[in-house]
Formats: sequence, C-alpha cells, structure tokens
Amino acid sequence: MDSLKFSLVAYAFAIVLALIIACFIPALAFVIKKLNLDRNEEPADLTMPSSNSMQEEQALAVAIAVAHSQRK
Amino acid sequence: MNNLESLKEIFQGFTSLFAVDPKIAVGRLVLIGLGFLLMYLGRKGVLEALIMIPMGLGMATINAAVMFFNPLDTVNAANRVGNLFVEPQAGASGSAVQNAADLMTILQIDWLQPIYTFTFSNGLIACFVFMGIGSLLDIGFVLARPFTSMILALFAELGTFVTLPVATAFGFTIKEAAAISTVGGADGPMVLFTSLKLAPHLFVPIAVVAYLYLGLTYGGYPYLIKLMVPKRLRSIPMQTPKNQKQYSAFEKMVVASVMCVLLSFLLPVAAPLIFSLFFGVVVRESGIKPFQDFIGGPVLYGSTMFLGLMLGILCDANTIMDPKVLPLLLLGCLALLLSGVGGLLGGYFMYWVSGGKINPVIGIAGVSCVPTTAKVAQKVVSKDNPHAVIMPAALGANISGVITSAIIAGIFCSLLAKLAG
Repeated sequence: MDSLKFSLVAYAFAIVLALIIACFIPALAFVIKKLNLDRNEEPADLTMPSSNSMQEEQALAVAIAVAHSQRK
Repeated sequence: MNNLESLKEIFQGFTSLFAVDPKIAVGRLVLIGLGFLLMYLGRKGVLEALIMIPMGLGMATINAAVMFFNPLDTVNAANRVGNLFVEPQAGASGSAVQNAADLMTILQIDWLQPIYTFTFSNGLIACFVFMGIGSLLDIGFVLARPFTSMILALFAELGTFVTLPVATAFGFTIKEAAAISTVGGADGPMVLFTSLKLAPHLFVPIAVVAYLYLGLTYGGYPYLIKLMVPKRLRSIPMQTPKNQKQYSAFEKMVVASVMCVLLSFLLPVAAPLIFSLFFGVVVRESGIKPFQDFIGGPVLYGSTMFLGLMLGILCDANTIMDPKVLPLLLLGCLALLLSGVGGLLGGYFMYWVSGGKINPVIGIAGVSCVPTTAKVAQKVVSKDNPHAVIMPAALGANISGVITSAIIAGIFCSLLAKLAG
C-alpha cells in the first residue's frame, strides 16, 4: 500500500515538473526573441585559432626558424 | 597425471560443465544458443544490431570460456569456476572483493575488468551514451510541440509507476522495486544509473534485463501498435501547423543550457545524466563541428559497442540463473509492455484533444528509447500510408521521454536514496 502511495505521489510530482518544463520552454524562447540575443551576425569559426593565438603561433614559428638558422 | 586428467585440464570449458550444478550447466548451453540467436536477430534487423551483435557474441563466449580459476586464490583454483573476462561487482558493496589490493589483482587479471570498473559500474558509459544521443537530438521538435510531447511522454511512463507496487508485491524492497520499474522508461542509461544508486546489488541483472528488453521493443512494439490502433487511425497523415515557429540554433542552445542548469538545480541526483544529455545538445547547436563529430561518432559508437559487449559478458549462467532474476525478467517485460500501452493511450488522448489531427501511433514514441521507438512508429505508419510522415512529432515525444525519465530517476533517487533497505 505504501509503495502504491509512493508511486502515485512520484507520478504526480513528475507530471507537475514535466508540465512546468513544458510551460518554461516556449516562455524561454519568447524571452530570447524579445531580448534579441540572436542577432544574425556572421558566426565565428570556432574551430580556428583566435587572432591572439595565431600571432603567438607566428611568433613561435619565427623563433624556431631563427634558432634553426643559428644552429646551421 | 594420466592422459584423461590431462585432457580434462586442457579442455576446462567442457569439464567445468560437469563440476557445477546441472541447472547451471544447462543454463550455460542455453545461453550459448541464445547468444547466437541474438546475433542472428540483430543481423537480420529484427533486434537492435548495435547492441545485440556484441552482446550475443559476449553471451555465447562467456558461457563457453569457463575454467577452474580463482584470481584471488590461485593455489586452490580448482575449487571454483571462473573466467578471465570480468568479476561482476568487484569492489562494490555486497561483493566478496572488498579491499583495494584484491580489486587491483582482479583489474590486472581480468581483461575487461578495467572497462567494467572504470566505465560501466560507475555509470560513466551511460553518461557517454547520453552525450552521444544528445548530439544527435534536435530539440526543435520539442520546442515545436512542448505540451503534446510532454503529455505523451508522461503517459508512456505508465509502466514505471504500475510496476513499482507490483514489484514490492513480489517481495522486493521499495528501493529495489523503484530500480526495476525504471525499465518502464525504456531508457538504458537511466536504468543503469538508478539501479546503481538504489539497488547496486541488483545492478548486473537489472542492466542485463533492461538492455535485453530494450532490444526486444524494436521487434515487439510494432505488434502492440497493430493490436491497439486500427489501420484507419494508423494512416492519419500529420500536417505541420502553418503558424509553427522556427527556432534558430542559438535559441535551441540557450534553451538547452538553461534547461540543463534548471533540471540539475531541481534534481541534483540525476545531474550527471542531465548534464551529459544537454551537453550533447549544446555541442550540436553551438556549431563546434569537431566536438559534435567526436561525441556523435567515436564516443557514442565506442560506448555502445563496449556497453553491448559488457552486457553480453555479464550474462554468464551464474548471474542469469540467480533465483532473483526470473521475477526481474517478468517485471521488466511488464514495465515495458505497460509503458507501450500507456504511450498509445496518450496517443489516443492527443488524437481526441486535437480533433483527430494527431496520429495516435506517435504515443509509442513517448517511450524514451531514442530514437528506436520513433523509428518504430514511422515504420508502422509508413506500411499503412507511405505518404504519412510522423517522424518529427514522434521525435519530439521521444526527446520528452528522455526528459521525463530523467525527472523520474531524479525523483526516485532523491526520495528513496536515504531510505534503509
């Protein structure tokens, strides 16, 4: 009997939580649209190194080339 | 040592058959046959090949590769039969292997023990599978119909909540019953996770039963649909509403991120799984292609392969012939059957609410075996009406099924974790 009661309580709890999430999803999408966070900007290529790291890489390449020529 | 004894020593797989209880020996032979059958059905497409082929071969092999062996007592090895694959639950509570030195010995001897101990028994593999599934999910399907999807998913949890009191009537404690009943959610990683949290001593049989039946849903649910839904209703084509909103990848990413944090906030016990699922979704929508390829490819398929392999290896006769496993087999079957029935009842409910616009078959996709049940729903409908496309709505219910399963796992773990027994 206790397990039946527990099962019903858990089901009721799950229903409430799932419906809250179902309400929350469109509300959140609405807020995002209103805040206009999703501007149609050119998306950054996230797989490419940033300008800083590019500069660092170039500096490292130059340093390696200099070291190599000095050894010769 | 005479010749006969030498032969016995060499062919321990055969001689060990006569050294154990005859029931176990018969069980070994039956499981070898069952392993081959699962492989055959997987190859034919009747059952899910990704799980069934490695599982079938593992099951057949583990029941053949039995020898007189005790990794912790090699001097008296002849007194015990074992294998060189895995020691289930080594190091877990209730196991004979309790100290770190013994566990280390087993890790060094049994070749699959590191995979089992470091990925399977701590739930890591379940999280990896969830990450992979997340990277394949388009939550736009849920955003398009949040209420329909959630209601269908809630109906499809019927098996979970009916099986729980039935399992206690079978003599299981409420924690064990809750762990078994999550099979009704048809969500493999969730079942692994809940059984680890609530009934670690039943983890191996519950995991085996769950995945065995999840494979069977692929073959069994089409018959349930045909039994419960007449052809006239199965052929209903679902139209996309004209005013349906389209969501950008950015919006989907923000929704997924906020939902991940919110659900983890509400249900910290299920946070590892919730995080893994939504991390996959966020990676998909963020546009980081190398991550998406990695999670949706090597991580997902590698985890699925080892999951199938481990499940097969765990199907040795000693585990499967345990008297506690038979009720688990019945209860797992009941849970999945009732969840399928509940899902279709949900489909009928939405058909009624929508004035006949929703095909009731999408209800079966509320059972969160992603994407199997959505594929099953589309396959059945296509046979009756090749022009009916229900896949987008079915996937919405499918994804919501994962979310409701996570909610239920969280509720069970939160409410029962501190309970004794």
